Amino acid sequence: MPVQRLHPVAHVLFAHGLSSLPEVHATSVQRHLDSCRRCSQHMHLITAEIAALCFAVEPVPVPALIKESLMHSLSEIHRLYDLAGPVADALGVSEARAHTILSTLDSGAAWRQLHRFWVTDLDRVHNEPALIARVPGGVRLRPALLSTSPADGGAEVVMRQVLILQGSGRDSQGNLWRPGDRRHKIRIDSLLAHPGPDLIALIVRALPPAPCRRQRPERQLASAAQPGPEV
Amino acid sequence: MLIDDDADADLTLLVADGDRSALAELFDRYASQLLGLAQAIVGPSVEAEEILHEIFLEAWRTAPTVSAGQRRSLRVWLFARMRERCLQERRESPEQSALEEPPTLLPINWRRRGRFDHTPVDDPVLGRVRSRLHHLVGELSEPTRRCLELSLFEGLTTDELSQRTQLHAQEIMGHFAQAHEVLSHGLTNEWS
Repeated sequence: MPVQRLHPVAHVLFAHGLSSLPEVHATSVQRHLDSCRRCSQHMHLITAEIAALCFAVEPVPVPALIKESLMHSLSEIHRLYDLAGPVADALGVSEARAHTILSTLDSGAAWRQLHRFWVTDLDRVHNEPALIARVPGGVRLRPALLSTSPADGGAEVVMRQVLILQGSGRDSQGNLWRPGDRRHKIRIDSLLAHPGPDLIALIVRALPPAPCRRQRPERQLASAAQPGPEV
Repeated sequence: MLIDDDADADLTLLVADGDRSALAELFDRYASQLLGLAQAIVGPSVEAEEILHEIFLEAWRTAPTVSAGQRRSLRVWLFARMRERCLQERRESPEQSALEEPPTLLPINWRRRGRFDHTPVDDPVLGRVRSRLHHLVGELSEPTRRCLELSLFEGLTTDELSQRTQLHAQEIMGHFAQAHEVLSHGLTNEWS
C-alpha cells in the first residue's frame, strides 16, 4: 500500500474525518497522517470540527438509570490491575495487597505535587519501601529530584528496581521503557517521558521485606485501611 | 469561546487521574447531546442508550492513554467515538436503525416551518452552540448539506454518496470542501 507523499488538502482530511473516503484512499491518507506531524495536527482540528457539528443535533433526555449504572460500573473497573503480579513481586507483597496499592494510585488521592511532577512514596501510603513517580507526558523526569533522602541528592541515582506501571519513556542510557518493563540495579540520571499517558514508575529503593515476614491480621487490616496522604 | 475548553481540559485530566465525579460531570454536560447523536444514527432505541453507557466506560478506561494532544479534548473523543460506534451498530443492524425521518443538521422546525425557531434547551450554553451551528449549516447549499448529513449520520463513502445522490465523486468532494470552509471559518477560535 503506497503512502501518500503529498500533504492531503483540507477537504480530503475533512472527508477522512467523516470516514467517507474509499478504503484504499483512506488507508493511504492514514499512513501519511501517521508519519506527518503537521497533517496529524490539522486532522485533530478537523476531528474537533466534526465533533462540533454533532452539537447541531437536538439533544434528548437521558434516563437517570444510565448514569446510575455507569457510576456503579466505574467502581468495578481497576485500570492498573494488569500489573498487580509484577508489583506484588517487586514489593514482596501479596497480589491482594498490590491491588490495594494500585487502586490507591489510580484514584490520584495518594499523589503529592512537587515542583514539576507528582510523586508519592509508598511509605506514606502503605508502609511499602518504594517510591512512585508520575510524570506528565513529555516532561523530563530527573530521578535525583525524586529522592526522599538528602543523602541521595546527587545527579545520578542508583535504583534497586524500577517497574513501569503506565506510559513510556527513554532513559539517559538510551533504554526504552514501556508498561510492565522491570529492571534491576539501574543507574541513570534522566528519564524522558514520551508524550501520551503520564509515566508512572514504581521505584524500589530498598530491599523488599522478606517473604516469610507476616503481619498480624489486625495490623494488615489497619494498614490496608490507612488513607493516603493529603494532597 | 462558546464552550469552556479549559474546564473540559481540567475534567479530562481529573478523569485520567481517576476522579469519578469528573466523569459524572462530563456525563451531565454532554450525555443528552451524545444520546441525540446516537439516536440520529441508530434511532431511538435501547442500543443508543447502551452505546452511551459503553463509551463513557471506555472513556474512563482509556483516559490515561489519551495522547497529550487530545488531552484537551476528551469531549471531542467522546463525540468521535460515539459516532464511530453508532455507525458500526447501524452497519451491523441496518433494519433496527431504520428511521422514520432522516436526521438533519438543521433545527427540526426549520424543515417544518421554513424558518429558524429553536426549541428551548435546558443548557443555555449548548443552546447557543446549537443555534450558531444551525446558522452555519443554513449557509450551506442544499446538496452540500445533504452530502454532509448522509456522511455524518449514515457513514456513506463518496462512492455510496455518488450512488445515493447521483452526483459525481468529484462533485461530492467539492461539497465537502464547501462544508469544511464554512465550518472551519465559522468555528475558528471557538473549538479546540
